[in-house]
Amino acid sequence: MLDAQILDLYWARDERAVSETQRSYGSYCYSIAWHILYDREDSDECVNDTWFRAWNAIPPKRPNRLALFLGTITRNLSLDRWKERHTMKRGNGEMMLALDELAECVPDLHSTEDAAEAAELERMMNDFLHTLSERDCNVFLRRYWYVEEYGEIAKRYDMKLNTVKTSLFRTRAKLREYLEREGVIL
Amino acid sequence: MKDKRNLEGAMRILEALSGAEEELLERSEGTAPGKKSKIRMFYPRAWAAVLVLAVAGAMSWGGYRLTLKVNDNAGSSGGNGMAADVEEYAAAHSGEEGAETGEETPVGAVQEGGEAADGAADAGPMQSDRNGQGTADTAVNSDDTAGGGGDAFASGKGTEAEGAQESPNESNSKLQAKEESGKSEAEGAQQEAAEGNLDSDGCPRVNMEEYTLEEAESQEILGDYIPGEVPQGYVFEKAGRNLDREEENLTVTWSRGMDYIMWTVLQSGEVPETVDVEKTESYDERLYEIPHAETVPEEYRQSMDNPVFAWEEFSLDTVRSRMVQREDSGDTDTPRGNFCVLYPDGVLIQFNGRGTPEEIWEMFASMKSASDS
Repeated sequence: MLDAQILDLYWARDERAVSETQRSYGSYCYSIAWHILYDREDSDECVNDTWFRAWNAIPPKRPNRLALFLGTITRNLSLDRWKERHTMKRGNGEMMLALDELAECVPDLHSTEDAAEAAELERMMNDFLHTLSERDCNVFLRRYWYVEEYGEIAKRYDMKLNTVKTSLFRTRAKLREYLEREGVIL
Repeated sequence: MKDKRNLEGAMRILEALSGAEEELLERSEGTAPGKKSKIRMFYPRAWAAVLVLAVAGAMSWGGYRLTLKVNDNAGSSGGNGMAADVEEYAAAHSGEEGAETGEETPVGAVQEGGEAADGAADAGPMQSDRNGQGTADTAVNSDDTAGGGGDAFASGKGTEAEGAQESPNESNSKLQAKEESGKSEAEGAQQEAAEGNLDSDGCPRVNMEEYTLEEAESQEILGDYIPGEVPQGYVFEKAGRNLDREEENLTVTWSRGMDYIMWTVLQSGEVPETVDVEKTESYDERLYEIPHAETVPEEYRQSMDNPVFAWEEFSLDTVRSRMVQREDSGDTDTPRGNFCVLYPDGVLIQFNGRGTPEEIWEMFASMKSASDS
């Protein structure tokens, strides 16, 4: 079923909207949740919560890109779930590795300024992404938005594994420099 | 300690990435663009040869058909007939071009639409599906309008081959059919161009007349039903009138982060059925567990879905019965709900949004019409 037809079902408050969404985007959302949570049960729950959230958000929303709209919800829910599960301990999977990598980008604390607001940080991240080449930006997003493994990214873009690693290493260095230059406190 | 702080900072970066622009995310969905170009790079001569052969083939086939037609006409109709048929041939080809234009026009029209072009391009497979459908529709129209001639014209080649053996009368009627068919093709193109009025999801764009909040409030009658107060933190998002609806209507939306309020005022001759407030089981959200499909009796499903309260019976209690809080991971805990209120003058307010029952009740109390009455 086409996105527009699925959205029409939501707007008509027809419960088939949920089953059609699941049919079209179930695997996509599950993949996002799985990469973050590395747990089947938690991933399933996040995906089911995604349908519920979408049901409540549409209408009034009418997302331009349903897949990304749903993917973002799944991602946020999965990050929340991951934080609940791993408050004090280190977990398995790509998420911990991705976090470790991104920890390199956190500027040193040398100011008494308040931490950047979430919205401001989002804006800065978008600005930063626009400074990257298309390839570096894509690789960065696959790694830190979708939390995909290096191998998956390399395969997707037909790149060598080391090229992916190098691209990410350089981008992280640029990000740290960018955040420091902007005076961002995390 | 530093390690913990860095991990928290890393988590904030990950969370901030949730706001990454959709265009960038969509772009990252692509796969190995280099692969295709590699194929072309490996066999550049072969590609060039295929291209040259295709062009040469097309030219020689066109020339052959022209020669065949001219020879046939010289044999059957003499000089004038030949001139007429060369015109016919030219007309047929301009028809072919017209048909091609007919296919291209809607795309061009959409592209000229600016935002619509972006949206349609974004829609990806959806857009191509709609284009496909539009083309099919055009072909059907063509058949309907011009009869068999339209069909023959659509195929182009068949018309030319048959034209060589036709009598002048048949040829004239064929030409007439072609002209009509050309018109219907043009109409089809217009129809498809009209389809350029699509939103980014490929759906017909809602024909909205947008207003500022002040303009909405100043609308005659309906403007009096816009609340003067909204819950704290809400900001005006947009207001407008749906010109496609038969009844008078006015919708205003406010938002507060993930929370929203959609407030629609309608005035039509049809008076909807109101619920009996004494029968709380027909509308009270608090009485039923989710999923409603398993808990709400069938006779109440419609009223539970969107109850209409008569203004005389509308109270804070009824608002409380509809504004319920649900605990969803990752969502705000603001109560949410929907219901309608029917006023004595036939005006219906459709409420859908989030806020505490008291805040929503205040909204209803702050309407100009409420203070007038």
